[in-house]
Amino acid sequence: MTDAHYYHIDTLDRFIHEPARLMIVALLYSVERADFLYLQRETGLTKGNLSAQLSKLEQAGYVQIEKTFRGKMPLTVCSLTVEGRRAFEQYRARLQQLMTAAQHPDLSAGQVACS
Amino acid sequence: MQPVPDGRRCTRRYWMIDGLPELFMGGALLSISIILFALRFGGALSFDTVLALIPVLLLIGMPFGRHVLDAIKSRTTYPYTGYVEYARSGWSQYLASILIGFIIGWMLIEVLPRISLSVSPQVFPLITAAIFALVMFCNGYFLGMQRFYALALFCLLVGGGASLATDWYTGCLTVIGLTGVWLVVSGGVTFWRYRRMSHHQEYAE
Repeated sequence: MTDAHYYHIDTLDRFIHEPARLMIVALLYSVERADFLYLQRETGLTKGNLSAQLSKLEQAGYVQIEKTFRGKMPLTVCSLTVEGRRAFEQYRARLQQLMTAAQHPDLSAGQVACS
Repeated sequence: MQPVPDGRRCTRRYWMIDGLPELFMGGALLSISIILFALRFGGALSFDTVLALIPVLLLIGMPFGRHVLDAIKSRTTYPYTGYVEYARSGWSQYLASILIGFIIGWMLIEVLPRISLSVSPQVFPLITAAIFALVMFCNGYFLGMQRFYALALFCLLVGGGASLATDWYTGCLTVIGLTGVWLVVSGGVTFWRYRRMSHHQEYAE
């Protein structure tokens, strides 16, 4: 395996690559919108950690957070922005390319990028 | 270390987790079998018309049922375990479901009578049950929900019994009806357990 295969590994979106944020983005990618409670339940993160990660994703422009009320209960609804959706798709494609390169070391970097 | 969730699997699993879809689907199957029984033996419609009604009922019932179910879930499920707005179906998905409905209808009207010439009609209840069992097994396998394996086994047992006991048409409707009853029971128990667990969690917090 040549170093050329891993030459572009630093092009992975490090913001999404962080495990907690990756879980949140992966979950939001498959739905239109989801609330805080659902994300907490599915990711297993603590309230504080989830809140902090969502704030970071919101600041990066990947997630849109809407705070409303359902009756008297506060409701925090999160959704991926167009930019966040595109960033996750690019991240997934890039990671797939790197995985292919790791599985087929005989392919050149250019062939991997095309595959 | 927490594994990265498969988002699509998580949302599909979440849709089924409270047992309401089973309850609804079971009710629909039970209603269909009762209606078809009544139409067939009431003599109001011909056999072909009765068969053609199945995909029509499915086409009308599926999108309508989904909206109704979502409205119920927003009162019973989402306040306790979280709100999810599922990805909207595109036109291509709607067209695909309509196409599948027509293919099923065409198979029931055109292919089934031809098969019936070469295969004993007594096998039809078992084939119907095997189709249901396959759907249940796929649900169990892809969603990781073990109760669907029990449902699949039940379908096969009912199909085997119905193909031995009665004429094939009554056998098929018996399979559909009993699968509906079993789904209603399974969904009801799941929903009851889910609500109890959710209330316990709420008080614990």
